[in-house]
Amino acid sequence: MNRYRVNQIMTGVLNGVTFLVVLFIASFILYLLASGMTAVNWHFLTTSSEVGLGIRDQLFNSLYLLLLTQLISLPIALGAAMALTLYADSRSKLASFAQGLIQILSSLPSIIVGLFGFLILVLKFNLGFSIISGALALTFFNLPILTQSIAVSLQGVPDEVMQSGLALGISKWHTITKVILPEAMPGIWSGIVISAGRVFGEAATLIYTAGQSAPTLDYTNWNPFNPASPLNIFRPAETLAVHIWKVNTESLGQDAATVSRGTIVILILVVLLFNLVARYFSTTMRKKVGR
Amino acid sequence: MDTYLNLPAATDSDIVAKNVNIYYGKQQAITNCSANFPRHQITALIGPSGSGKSTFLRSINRMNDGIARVEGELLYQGQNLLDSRVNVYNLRHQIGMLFQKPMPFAKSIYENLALPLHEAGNHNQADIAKRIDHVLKMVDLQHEIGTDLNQSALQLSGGQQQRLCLARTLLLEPKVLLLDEPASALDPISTAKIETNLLSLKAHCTIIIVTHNLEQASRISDYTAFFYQGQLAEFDRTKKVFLNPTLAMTERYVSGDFG
Repeated sequence: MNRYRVNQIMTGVLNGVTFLVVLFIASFILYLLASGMTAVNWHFLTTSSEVGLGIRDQLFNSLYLLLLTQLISLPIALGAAMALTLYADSRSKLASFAQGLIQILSSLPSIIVGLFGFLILVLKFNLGFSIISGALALTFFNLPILTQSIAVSLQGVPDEVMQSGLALGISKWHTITKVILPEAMPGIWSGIVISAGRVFGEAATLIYTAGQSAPTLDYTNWNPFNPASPLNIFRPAETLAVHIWKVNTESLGQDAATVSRGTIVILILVVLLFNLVARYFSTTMRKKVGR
Repeated sequence: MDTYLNLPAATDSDIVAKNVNIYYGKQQAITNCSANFPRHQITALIGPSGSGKSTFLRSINRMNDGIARVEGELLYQGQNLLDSRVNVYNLRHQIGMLFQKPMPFAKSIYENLALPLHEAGNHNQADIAKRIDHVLKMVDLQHEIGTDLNQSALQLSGGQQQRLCLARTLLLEPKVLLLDEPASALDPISTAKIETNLLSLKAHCTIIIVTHNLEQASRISDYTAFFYQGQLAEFDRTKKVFLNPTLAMTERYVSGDFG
């Protein structure tokens, strides 16, 4: 068989494989959405699971935990990524050691992170099953992913940009904050949003840290120290992903299956939304500042 | 190694190097380099890759800080610029640099030009506009880009980007201009435009240019310094270096025997 024919066949095979993967994922998502769509309605989204068949509080908890996690992770991840890419000597042993640690941390099973959080945060620091325990545990889960994606975005800015800034008499810090960070911003944003999708869907880390109960919240209570307040960070908080796990392991009957499917739909839709937003950032912002 | 240095008078020179040695870790990149770079003249640094000419150039505006160790004396208007007390930011305002790859910031043309001025403490809008107008004229970019300074600098062609970078350097009114192969990534027409810019800049700038393009060196420079294996081998008037060099090695290099 001549090599041109082989080339043709291999192109066909690769296209076929791609098509199969896309077909599989698309039909999987469509199946989940179709089977759960009937369970989703306004009542489902606005009722507490304590009083009816709703996921109001789980949805809020998921978003609140995500927000807190990113608020804690982002400054640390940004600082670490800047230190590793813009400040550390690439030949330094310490930097490559830190890089290795980040890689190990990023491949740590999330159940281990959860148990670690349970021992340290929930028991040792006596934070109990709470949003703050969950957010700190999720930070361990989130940090390596976020640090790596920010580091990649920063590395995408050519070294010569830094050189040019310095040669113009601009300080290193200002070259970073006024030139390099803005240029890396589309990549950093999509990194944040993609990591948000992973954090949002995370269950194992939270089962042992944020807990599995969702006390009914009073959305008119904005006192962050009141246990019924949605803002209180010391209350237990079940999220959507944990809710799916709990409903499927602990409940029986028709209602449980319906609630589970409906929750899956909402979870998938939110994660899809995050990914669409990430794409939007990476395409439209790159058009503005891309090289 | 034989050397032949026919240096111009130090009193007529903006940059004077005295026994400069440069090391990357334990490896020596430049050995005992002494040279004078005459005021308002163009000096070309030529030599094979790895001969140390870029390393030497980058020491003049302290871009080697934290990368290489520079010993000896580099005098700028009589003051040793290697002194740790020298304010490198001010120094780099006075000794500007242009690199091989055109590297405008991923911002508008206006922001590219205004940023260095802001950073230098100039916030006078009218003055900034006047200076920008002036430097864009100096590099002949004004009629090419029109009046829309809000367009992205990255939409310009490679040659225009490089002239924008030259304009950005000129905004700070440097007395000395260091150029590290500024045209090697450009097409011949853009190269010719940059060369024209440099020849007119000579009126108020001392220019030192590293180039691998020997024709370029002979076209625009007044003096030529030939670097070989980390040493300044020959320094003379450009005509002399290209037509009748003193060292056999220089002869071989400029006639294209090795490189």
